[in-house]
Amino acid sequence: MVGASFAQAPAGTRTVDPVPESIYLKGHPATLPVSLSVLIHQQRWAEAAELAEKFTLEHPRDSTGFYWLGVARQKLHDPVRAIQALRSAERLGLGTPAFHIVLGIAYYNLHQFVLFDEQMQMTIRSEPFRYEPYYYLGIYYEDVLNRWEHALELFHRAAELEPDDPRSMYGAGYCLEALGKRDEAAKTYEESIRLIERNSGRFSGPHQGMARLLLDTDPYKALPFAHKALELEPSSPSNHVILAKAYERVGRLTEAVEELQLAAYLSPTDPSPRFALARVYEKLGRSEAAGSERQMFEKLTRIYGP
Amino acid sequence: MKFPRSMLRVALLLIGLSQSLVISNAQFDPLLNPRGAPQAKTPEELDAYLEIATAQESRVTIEKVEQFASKYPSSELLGVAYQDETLAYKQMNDIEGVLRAGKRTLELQPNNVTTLLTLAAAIPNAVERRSNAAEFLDQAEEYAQRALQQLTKVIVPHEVTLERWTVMRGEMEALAHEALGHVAAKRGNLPRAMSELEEAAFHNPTPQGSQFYRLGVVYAMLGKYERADQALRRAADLGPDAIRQLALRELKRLNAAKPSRGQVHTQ
Repeated sequence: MVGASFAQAPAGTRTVDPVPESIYLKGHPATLPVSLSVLIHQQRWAEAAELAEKFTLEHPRDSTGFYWLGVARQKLHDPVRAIQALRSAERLGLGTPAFHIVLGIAYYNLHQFVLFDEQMQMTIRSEPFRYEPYYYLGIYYEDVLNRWEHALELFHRAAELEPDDPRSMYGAGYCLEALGKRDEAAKTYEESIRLIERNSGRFSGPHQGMARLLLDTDPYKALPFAHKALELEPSSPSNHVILAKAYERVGRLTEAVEELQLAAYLSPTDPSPRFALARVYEKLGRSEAAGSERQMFEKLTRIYGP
Repeated sequence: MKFPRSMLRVALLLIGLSQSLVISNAQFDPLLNPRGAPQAKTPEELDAYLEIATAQESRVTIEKVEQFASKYPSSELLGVAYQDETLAYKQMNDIEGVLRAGKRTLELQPNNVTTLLTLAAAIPNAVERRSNAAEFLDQAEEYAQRALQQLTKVIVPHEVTLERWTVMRGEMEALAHEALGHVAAKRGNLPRAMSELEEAAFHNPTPQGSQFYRLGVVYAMLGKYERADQALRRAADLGPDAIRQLALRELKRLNAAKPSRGQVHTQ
């Protein structure tokens, strides 16, 4: 049985591309300028949005221009104007399953979950063997509703339909961890890690999950997982926090402080690294620093919530 | 598990940031917790709200809110739509419109800080010709106090840095104290008006000419001429132009009223 309480799991450990390339509209209509395709391929989204907008003004009956305008705006974290462009594309007749996924994700980003769910169900009805709607619905049930059992079913279904996707597998592991099924969670994380290694992926979730599970029972085993998670996604504050916790458990307190300071720097409004810092400073006998971090923890908790 | 964070953009839009008012930033709560976000029931309902949220002109915002309210009378988005309308009326200096739309907002969202502050500021300007002026001023005071209470409870999105929030909160608290000072002045309670306006003017991280102007006027009414002179000159420095003109006019009046004290410079 692997240990560590789920309460230690940092929130928001996973990130999801708002529009994964796998669901891009396929093909290139003759009317669409080649330069726009180049910008999309190079992921130069601000320029792509500008060009797509120009194209929609010149070709107001062409749904493709509005579609790419919507995708680009979504990539630029502008869900409102993304929805407006995608709805224009829909009114002009675009309605492929992949399109409904993109529109659904835009609704999700605006926290319009009723409409998000509707788009995902439409996709499932018209193309039941696509994994993406199950995956995104899994995220919704896990992250927003905290309905772990149902989220687990959805992630399992997504993983069945796309066995090479480490994120669906990780999602299932995360739900198992939340449900207290730690051994099963560990097995699922290991499977997800194998998929990442096979595909040379840069996703740190399952390594972090393994480190979290091992923290209390075998922190020395947790360390390499925490290191690998950080190597895969060095800018993730939660990866620094997990590594710091592993260092703390094995008595490498100075290194724990360094990691927690980095986490606090990367995520300055998150109270949790401050709390951990206060605890490690106490262990190091640095009462003044500990007091200052505790104060900062209380202040951030009051303003930003726990 | 998170999508890339777009909550602040969303929150600010749905709270009416398009109206570019500082106080618009206050209302984070409805969207901070995704479970509490108002939900459109159909794509058309959301389309109609997004047209309001992205409207560039106040007149258009008001038109679209009225259409929205008539077409979707039970929409969960109606509260934020009315807030947008309140701010649009404020942009147009239409006090009666502010009062009407603000009241509708508070019926649906009683602790909407943006609207509480907007109404608290607007009411003292609207009491002159009213038979129930005293009751109105009580209401403005209650709104300002409620806004101050809510500001201690607001949970701020992580996208807003601690430094930015410190400034925003200071600005909003200053607005509430300015309203309380204005109310006190209307009631003829000048010492209370002075203390509230001092709180507003001196503790605002972004000093405002209008707050120094009001304070200067109250100082003058209390016979505190040196302080009045300083506050009015600060108001003239800070502007904007309308406040500068008012402050300079008041300084002239001050000089004329107290020639024996020596000239108070207006430049």
